Amino acid sequence: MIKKFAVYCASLVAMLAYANYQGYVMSNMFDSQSHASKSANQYHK
Amino acid sequence: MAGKSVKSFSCPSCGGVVEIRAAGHTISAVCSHCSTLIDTANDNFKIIKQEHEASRETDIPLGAKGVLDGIKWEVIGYVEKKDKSYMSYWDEYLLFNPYFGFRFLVQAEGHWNLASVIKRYEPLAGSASEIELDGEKFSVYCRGQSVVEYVKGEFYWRVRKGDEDTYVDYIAPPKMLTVEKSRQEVTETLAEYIEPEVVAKAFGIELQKKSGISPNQPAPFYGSLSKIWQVTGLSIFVALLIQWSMGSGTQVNASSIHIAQSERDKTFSTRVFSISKRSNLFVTSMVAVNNDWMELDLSLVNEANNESYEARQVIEYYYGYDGGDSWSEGGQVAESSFSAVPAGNYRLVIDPSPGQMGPNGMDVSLQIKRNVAVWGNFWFIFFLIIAYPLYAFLYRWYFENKRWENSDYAPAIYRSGGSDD
Repeated sequence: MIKKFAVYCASLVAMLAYANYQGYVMSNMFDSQSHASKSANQYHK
Repeated sequence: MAGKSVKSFSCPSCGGVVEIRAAGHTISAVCSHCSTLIDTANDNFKIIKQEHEASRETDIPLGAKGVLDGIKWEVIGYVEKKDKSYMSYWDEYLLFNPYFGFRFLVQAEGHWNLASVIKRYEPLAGSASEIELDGEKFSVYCRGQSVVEYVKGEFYWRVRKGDEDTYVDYIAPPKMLTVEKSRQEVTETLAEYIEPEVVAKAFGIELQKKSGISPNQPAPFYGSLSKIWQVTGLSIFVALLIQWSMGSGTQVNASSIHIAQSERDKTFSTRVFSISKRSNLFVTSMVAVNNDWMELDLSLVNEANNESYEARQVIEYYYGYDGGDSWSEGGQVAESSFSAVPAGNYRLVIDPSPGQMGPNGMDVSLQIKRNVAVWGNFWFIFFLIIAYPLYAFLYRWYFENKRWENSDYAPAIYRSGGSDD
């Protein structure tokens, strides 16, 4: 049990390191207003 | 091997065959046919107490053999006892091995203990609320008076129906120390909890399911809770180091735009700025709104492929004076983040939607930073890490509460209200 938990924690810490290195903002996963979309020439009114 | 020398004789009361499995050790036997107590200290087999009670079935039959703790034991005696006050019952099986002597297998509510008599004198045992044995602290769990309800098999002491003892149970789960006092002697028995499945497997029998929590039943996460917390602490420490190594970010652009009254529907853009490697991007906007609001639709546009990342900021700030008190709500600053923006050249397109806006228009200040330490990421991981140890801690606490529910000597932290003591 303790080994499984240690592996679980190590995975989470590695996930944090990866997310920070890649610049992920985890809270944006739950925020519908912050997302990437491909679009072209839609910025000129 | 247990039970090598089985000796038998006829019961002087009913004539049934009485078997002695621990010949030379036992001094009394109870006829399994009529329950008469017979003196087996010598070959005269005198009746100590005549009974006419039919034999009862027991979970483990007399003569059954099983391996516990790597030793083969034979069941040679059985005693059923009850507590006089609580009317709770338990079974005590006497086990014998010619090389290892005697042990007790005790069953109550489907919970089992393997016990042995310890030969030492604890002057405070029985009266103290806590005693120490081999460096382990045992806390008193219950005190009571036991009565022998039923006996069968053979014993190395004289036991008969109706015998009474006072007893005190001390616990240090998974161990229990029982101090029994009769008119003749004081006996201390050290027991260790044993899973029913182990007993069932050892003797090849089926047992009733356990119910409730035994006084010395090992708590959930027994022996591993401190290790769980150690792993938790270490993981959080490493996560903190990772988080601190991020720094406070690098500014890639700072812009200021003026929105005139006539430009309410205009779209603005910052200069092109460069992001050297994939990272997050934070846009902080400051608008001097006063009792007004401003909505900013932001589009971060990649110059190379027009791929865009969008966000919306609502900035509103209201204040006033009401009933002698000043009040305010909202603020003049808003922040938005873009996640994992690839390296490249970008510009930020701002599409403002102002509220009232005065005749002089409004100024919007923008600051864009990349590679900012996101503490939300840390807290997200933190809660995923802490969830399991927290569950383990609460479950353990609940379990200990349940354990002490049946005791008059519960430690203060497990003592629920309503006691009349």
